[in-house]
Amino acid sequence: MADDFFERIDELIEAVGSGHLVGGVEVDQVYGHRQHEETTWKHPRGGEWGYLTKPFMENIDRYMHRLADLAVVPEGSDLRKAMIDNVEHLSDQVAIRAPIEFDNLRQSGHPTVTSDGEVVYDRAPKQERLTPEQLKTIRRQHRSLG
Amino acid sequence: MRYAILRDFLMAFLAGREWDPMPTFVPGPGTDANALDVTPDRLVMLTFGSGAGLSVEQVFDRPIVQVRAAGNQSDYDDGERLAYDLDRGMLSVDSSRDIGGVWVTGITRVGGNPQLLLIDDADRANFTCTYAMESETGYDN
Repeated sequence: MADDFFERIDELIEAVGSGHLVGGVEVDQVYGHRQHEETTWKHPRGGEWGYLTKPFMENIDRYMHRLADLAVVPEGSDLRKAMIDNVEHLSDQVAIRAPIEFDNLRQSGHPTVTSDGEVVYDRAPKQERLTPEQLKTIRRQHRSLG
Repeated sequence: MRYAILRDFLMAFLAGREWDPMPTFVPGPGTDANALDVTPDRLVMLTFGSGAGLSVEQVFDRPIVQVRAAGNQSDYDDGERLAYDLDRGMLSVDSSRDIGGVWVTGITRVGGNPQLLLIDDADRANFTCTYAMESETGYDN
């Protein structure tokens, strides 16, 4: 009986894994930081400052519950899946809450998860970082539509 | 937690670190929208966000607050030192204590250390850092 217990605990330890499980969402645009931190700017087309920080804090209980719910499941552990769900949810929040100018920022959420330093999830952003030339072109197009 | 209480707490902390003259403090983002443009020299803007909501059977709130620090003109180090001293003041609340009559269980950063946001038109280095806190709810508390 005791042997069973210790074997199962060992299995569980292996399923859960060791080290740090780290989830992140990056928004890699040249104007991303300023748009996130400028509390004084108005966004007439929608969106707001703190488009990562605010949804992260507002959903922090949900994220922790998700991790707790999937830490131990009948098949072992789904912690990684829980963290992937969390970063995808936060990335979706960027798509809803980032300021709109040309709609590129909202498409720029880049979720990743690392487990004990190893990348276990890396979903490319729908919008890659725009080059200065691409930004100029977009501005020109919007001006001509104008 | 209210703006005025956090302002007074940070001003007392900066005074203890011999900041003279003391920076001008303003609430963000909307009540004095032009503060950044019309306030010369050092400026600190405190902008609250609703954060994670209620906790501890609705006795505590968990707001976020962005601290924006602008130093003297043409003095990058001044802005950076101001941002880090404010950071030190915020992080000094690392366990339960009373701040101006409000019980706060702790203040922590959301994300990293103070980061340069921009060098503004007045040639001041502007730094920002965002914090989460758990504090008593209510205006009077």
